Amino acid sequence: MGTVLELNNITKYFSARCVVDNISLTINEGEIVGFLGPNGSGKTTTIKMIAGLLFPDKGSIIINGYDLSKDFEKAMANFGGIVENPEMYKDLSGRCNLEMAARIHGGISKERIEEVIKTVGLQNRIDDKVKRYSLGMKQRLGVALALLHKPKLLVFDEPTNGLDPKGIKEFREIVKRVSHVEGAAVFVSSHMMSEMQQMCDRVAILESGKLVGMEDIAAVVEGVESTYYKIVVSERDAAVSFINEKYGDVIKEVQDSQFANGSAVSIVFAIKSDDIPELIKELSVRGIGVYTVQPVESSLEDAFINITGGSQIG
Amino acid sequence: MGKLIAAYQNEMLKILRKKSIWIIGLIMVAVIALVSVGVFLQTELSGVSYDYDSEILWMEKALQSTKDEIGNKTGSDITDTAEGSELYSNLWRVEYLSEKIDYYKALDEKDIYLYNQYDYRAELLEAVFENAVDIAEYENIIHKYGLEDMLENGYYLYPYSGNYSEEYIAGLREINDKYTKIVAENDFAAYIEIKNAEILADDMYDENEKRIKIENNNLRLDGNITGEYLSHERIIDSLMELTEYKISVETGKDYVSSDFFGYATGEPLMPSKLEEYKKQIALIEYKFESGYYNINEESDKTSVVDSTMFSEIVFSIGMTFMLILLVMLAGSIISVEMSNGSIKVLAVAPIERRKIFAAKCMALFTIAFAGCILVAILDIIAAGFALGFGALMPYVYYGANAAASIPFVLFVLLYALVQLIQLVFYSALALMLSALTKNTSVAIGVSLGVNYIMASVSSVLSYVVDPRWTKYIPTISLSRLVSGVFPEGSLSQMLGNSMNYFGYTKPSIWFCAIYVAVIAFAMLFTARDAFCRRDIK
Repeated sequence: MGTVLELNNITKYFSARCVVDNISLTINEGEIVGFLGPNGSGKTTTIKMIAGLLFPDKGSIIINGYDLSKDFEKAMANFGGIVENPEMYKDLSGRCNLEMAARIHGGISKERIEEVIKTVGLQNRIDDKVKRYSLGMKQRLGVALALLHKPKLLVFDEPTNGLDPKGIKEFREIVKRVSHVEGAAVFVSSHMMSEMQQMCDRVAILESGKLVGMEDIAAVVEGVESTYYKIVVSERDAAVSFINEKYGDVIKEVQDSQFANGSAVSIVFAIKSDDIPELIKELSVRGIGVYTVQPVESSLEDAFINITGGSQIG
Repeated sequence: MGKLIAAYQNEMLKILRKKSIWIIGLIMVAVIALVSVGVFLQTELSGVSYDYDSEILWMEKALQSTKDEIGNKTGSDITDTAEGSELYSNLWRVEYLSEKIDYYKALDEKDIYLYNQYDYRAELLEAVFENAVDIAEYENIIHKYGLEDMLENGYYLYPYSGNYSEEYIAGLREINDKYTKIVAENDFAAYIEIKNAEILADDMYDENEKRIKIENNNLRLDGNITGEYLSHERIIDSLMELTEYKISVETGKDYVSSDFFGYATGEPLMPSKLEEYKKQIALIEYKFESGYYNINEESDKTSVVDSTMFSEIVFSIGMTFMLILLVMLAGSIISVEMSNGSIKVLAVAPIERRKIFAAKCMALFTIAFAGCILVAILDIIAAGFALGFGALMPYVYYGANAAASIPFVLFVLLYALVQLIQLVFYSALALMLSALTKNTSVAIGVSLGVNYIMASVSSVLSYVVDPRWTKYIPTISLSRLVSGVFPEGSLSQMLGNSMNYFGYTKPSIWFCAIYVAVIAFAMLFTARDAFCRRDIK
């Protein structure tokens, strides 16, 4: 797999403040890399440098083998993405925006334009002026603009903002297809942990301008000692005392709830997935009814907190 | 190159989708059309003859009511009282109105326009009328009723002037007979003879002034420029200018500039003025020789403007709109994209920022160029409509020690290109401010402010600063450049140059051109640098 994006010791100062500090990373073909970090950690600044909007004070950015500062046009010919918000010419139609972008890229057929319109599902509104679009529709058009020239590198900064659940699912499918089928490298930052977990192959974690982790998503999740599960049982006290006795101080939350026609209690606690069959068996032996067991989708967040030592994701 | 053209096409598309440019363009077309219609109507109405019939009718009514007021009274009833004075006034009024009715009938009969001060017949008939009133006052009232004694005793009867005598009245009668005969026979030569004799007898003129006026009269006689037609007006004025310039150059004294009372100053000519006057002689003579003044044209229509002045007016209107339009576009072309974020669309595209900047400049200058050509085309159409396509005269200029001309259409197109210079200059200023401040209001406001305020500030500065240094103020060099390429335009002649050079030689056009080009380039370079090197946050 060839390297599509290479950040070599990039550093950026705003006045005297160092907002991105000596970051180096690589992203390969067909790989989706998530970008995580608390507010103000330098995620957007990094993405803006990759997009050519900000100039790094130190270091180099190589896109598909071209140094951004030396071969800007060739490097950016391989770049597509949405930075911060999907920006476009609001007084022009969606189609007109796409045609303008196609003109700059060159060699983009009308069929390709129609294809991306169809891909993002904007067929019915593509001739409306962009100022009449909802945020979700703008995001879709932004994705269309990013995909138009089939770039080797796709960068998305909070791409699912404004998208409805269906849109989020479609976006995820598009990104996975473009990456895993068409071989593009994707670099995506998102607030939604579940999104990242479902979509990304690796995550880069940034804190105070520094890259503090660059891991395979599986390894990150795996690396977390206990994964939280929510179990809904019929007997509160018995269940709680059993769990405490068997697994120690692992309970995070206990809440009364309703299940079927009777009262129940939901307990969130850390447990390894391998231990779940044994747990269910033990509870059943003690006469405690187990209604459901499901993982709580916070594993990546936990991993993130573990790595960053408690900072909130932003 | 391909990307530059693509970016240029995109920029043009964005500009042409803006409603504001079409609205400003439409208003400009409407204002130019209004000017054209205004000049057309003025020209058409200039030939409308005076409504003598209704004037005569009104005077006849006034005459009758005055007679009614007098009743049975006669001049014998005039006494040394207020009533007596009023009766005199009414009797005089009867004579005045009777003569004025005859005067108006004579004008009407000869189809002479009352207020055409250039028509020698109007001038003579007016003198005949004024003399006739004096004759009637004397003969029909004062002499008839023996009021001489009463007046000699100091009693004042208005409007009696107090210097009537048999000899004086006989003189007036002689003049009137002569003038009436001249008008009846349309004897222009006799009129010129009388005027020349009057000039020779007038002690207020010096010898040179007398020569100017007599030579001018003789030129009028040679060309039979009677002033009978309104189309003669401009010819008569130009002939007068020509003789004034000629005598000034010949004598080395200024007979063109006049003092407060309208008399020639006669001051010694400075070398620069001497050259200027020689040039003017060449220009006017060229115009006569090349048929610019059609002395055979006998038309009762005349326009307040000629085709060159009309073009200058249309361009001053058109350029005002174009300047506002271009400054609005240039002032927003970067800053608006910065503020609404659409700059990111451009910045992440595979095209270098310097090419984006070049594309924006190319689009702006395309609009400026197209605007100038549009104004030129509008000007040709509007001038043709207002003045008649046959009246679109060539631009006459002075170059290489001789006068020459360029056809009207070519002049208009070249004039448009000269006007383009100031559009480019102010666009560069607005673009620079837009890129530096990223604030559209500042970019547009300051650029327009510099354009409108600096003209006045520059004029004032020229009195404060040594005039030799004022040429380094870019806007001064710009206005000198724009007005200096076609200096013989009627409007620029009429308005003059607001700059005060105190007799210093004006900065050369070449200096101004190079200086303005350097400043414009510096502004564009600054804008490009700010646009290409700065972060887009």
